[in-house]
Amino acid sequence: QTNIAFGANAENQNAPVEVTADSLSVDQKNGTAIFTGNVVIGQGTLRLAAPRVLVVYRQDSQQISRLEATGGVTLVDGDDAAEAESADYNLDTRTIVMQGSVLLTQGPSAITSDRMVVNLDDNTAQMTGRVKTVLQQGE
Amino acid sequence: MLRDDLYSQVVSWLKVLLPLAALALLSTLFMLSSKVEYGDIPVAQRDLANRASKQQITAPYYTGATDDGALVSMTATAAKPDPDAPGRVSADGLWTRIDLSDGTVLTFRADAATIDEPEDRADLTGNVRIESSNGYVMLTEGLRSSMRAVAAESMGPVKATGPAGKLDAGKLKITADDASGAVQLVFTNGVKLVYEPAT
Repeated sequence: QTNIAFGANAENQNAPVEVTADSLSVDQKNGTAIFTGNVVIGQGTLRLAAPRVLVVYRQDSQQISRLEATGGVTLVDGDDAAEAESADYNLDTRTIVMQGSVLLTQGPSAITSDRMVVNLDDNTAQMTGRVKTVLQQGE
Repeated sequence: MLRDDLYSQVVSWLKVLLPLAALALLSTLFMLSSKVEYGDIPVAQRDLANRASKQQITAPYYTGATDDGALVSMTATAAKPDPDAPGRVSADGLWTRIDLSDGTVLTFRADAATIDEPEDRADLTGNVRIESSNGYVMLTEGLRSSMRAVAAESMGPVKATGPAGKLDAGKLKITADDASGAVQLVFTNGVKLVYEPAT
C-alpha cells in the first residue's frame, strides 16, 4: 500500500464532464452507451484517454454513475500521469480505479503496480499489488 | 242615400287599397333586411384551380410494419404525389411513430418529407426532431430513412440531449442490431458530450 499525492487541485469536484470521441453508440433497449475511437474524458484539469469507454447509469435516475475505460488508458492530471490497461471512473465516489500494469510517472520518478485507486477529492492515490518504484538518479 | 253610397264606395276602395298597401309593406321588408356578405369565402380562385389540378390529401394517415415487426404510423398536414416520379409523395409537416418489437418507441417530426415507397426511402428535411422513448431528443436538418427497416441516417450534424447529457455529433445513424434487434443510435463523425454531474 503506497500513498501518493496525485493530481493538481480539488476544484474538479462538480466541474462538467466532457467526453469527446469518434463515435458513440447507444443501445435503446438497455440504454448502455459506448464511446469508441480515441475517447478523451475531461473534467477540470483531469484527462482520461482510452480507445473505448462504456457509460454506466445509476439504477434509479438517468444520472451517469460510472465511466469504464478499457483498451489501454492514460490518465493525466496536472503534471502527474498514469497508464494502465483499464480505468473505472466512478462519478459518485469520485474515484478512479486503474488496473493492469499501472505505471505512474511523477516528474523523474516512476512507480508501477497492479492496481491504483485515485481519490479525486483529496488528490491522493493508493497503489497496491507488486508496487515497484524506479528512482531516476539526477544526471 | 248619398251618404250610404259614399260609405260603400269608400269601403270597396279600401278593400282594394289596404291589401295593396300590405303587399307593398311586406315587399320592402326584404329590401330593408341587413345585407349578408357572401363575398369572401376563404378559397381563392387560384387555389381552387391548384387543388383541382393536383390531387392533394389533407391529413393523410399511413400505417405499416417493417420486416422485423416494428409498427410504423405516419401522418402529415398535407401530402401530394410527385408528378414526375410515380410512387413518390411529397408531404408537409410529417409526423412518424415507430413502435419497436422491444417496446422502445421512436417518433420523427419534420417540416417536409419526400416519401418514395418503391425506392424504400423517406427523406425528412427541415427542423427534423427525433425522440426516443428512453429520453433522447435529437435535432438535425435532414434525415434519410428506410421505410421497411429501422435504418436511418442524418444528412448532417445532429444535436442531442439525453440521459448521457448534451451531445453534438457529425452524423447520426439509427440501426437495428441484427442479433438482438435492439435499436442502436450511433453518433459518428466526431462526438462531443457535456454532462453536468448532479451536485
